[in-house]
Amino acid sequence: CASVPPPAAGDLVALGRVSIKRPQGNDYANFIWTWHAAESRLALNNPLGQTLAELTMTATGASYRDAEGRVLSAGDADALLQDGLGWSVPVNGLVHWLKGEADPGSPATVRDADGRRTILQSGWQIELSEWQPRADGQRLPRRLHLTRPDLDLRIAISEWQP
Amino acid sequence: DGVSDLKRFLSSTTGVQGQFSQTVSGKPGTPVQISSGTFAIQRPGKFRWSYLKPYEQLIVGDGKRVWLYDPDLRQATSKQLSAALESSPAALLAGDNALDKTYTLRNLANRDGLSWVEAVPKSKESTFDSIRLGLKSAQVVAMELQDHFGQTTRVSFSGLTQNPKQSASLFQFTPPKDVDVVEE
Repeated sequence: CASVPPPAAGDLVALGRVSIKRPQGNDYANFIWTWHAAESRLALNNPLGQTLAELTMTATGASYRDAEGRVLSAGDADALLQDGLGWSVPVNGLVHWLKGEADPGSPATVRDADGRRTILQSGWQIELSEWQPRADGQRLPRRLHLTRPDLDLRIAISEWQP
Repeated sequence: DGVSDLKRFLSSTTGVQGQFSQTVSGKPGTPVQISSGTFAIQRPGKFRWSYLKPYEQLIVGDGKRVWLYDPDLRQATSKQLSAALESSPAALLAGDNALDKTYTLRNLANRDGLSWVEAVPKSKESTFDSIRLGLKSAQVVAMELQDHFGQTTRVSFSGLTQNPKQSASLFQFTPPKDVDVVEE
């Protein structure tokens, strides 16, 4: 088939699954998260790879598109995903938390103990584990567990690229 | 031709088992995702679609409901079979013979030594535009799906056993104790 442009140089990509437990019910999806310069792109897919929805976050705002063809945009990505899919996912925070870091934009407590890192920030407790060492000496997590009184998110990352 | 081969497959096959490999690609800037595993189908309505690499994810249709189990996340969800029929073409292959009730079938040109059929879902809310099935001597050996974002999923089947003896437990799912179960 025609050669498809791979992710651009300097992009970082995480492939994984997310499950969201909340009082009204539960959501689950495969996802691909791409960091491209200052932009972050989240694609939610079903196991067979069909895209259910896509969210793009830039410094100036966020845009959303889903399989039914709906297109929405807003200043805040968390609210946008809630409007679009009804999913309460702290995507603004995840831009940093997925990489194992706190969001530099607001106060946070970070504790490291026996291979686990706990971040307390914006009302969430984020536990990070199963760290994967990287060529550049950095390390990236492959399991995240985010909890808030009314929400419980579990994330498993099967692959970091490159 | 493709359509008659598919109908022969559906009428002559009550069960099939084998391996699959899946490649998802096509959306610019998105990496190609490759996964593989095993599958089993018992018509009507029962299937087991087990991803093994690069991670484990099990989808089981027991004829009434479809279970999806993710051991890493210790999470199992189960949906009505009808609602989930769209989400897994294994359900299409395990569907009842009246395929043209839910899909418009069309012959395509032969390719890669296979006869091809295109199945366009009649219901609009499906996540894919169409499915193409590749057959060889009335056996489905390849499947291609296009979604609305330019992403194409190619699945190839191998090591096929037609109408094998299948134990009922293959198409049942009991969630392990420490797993979070959600019924929808």
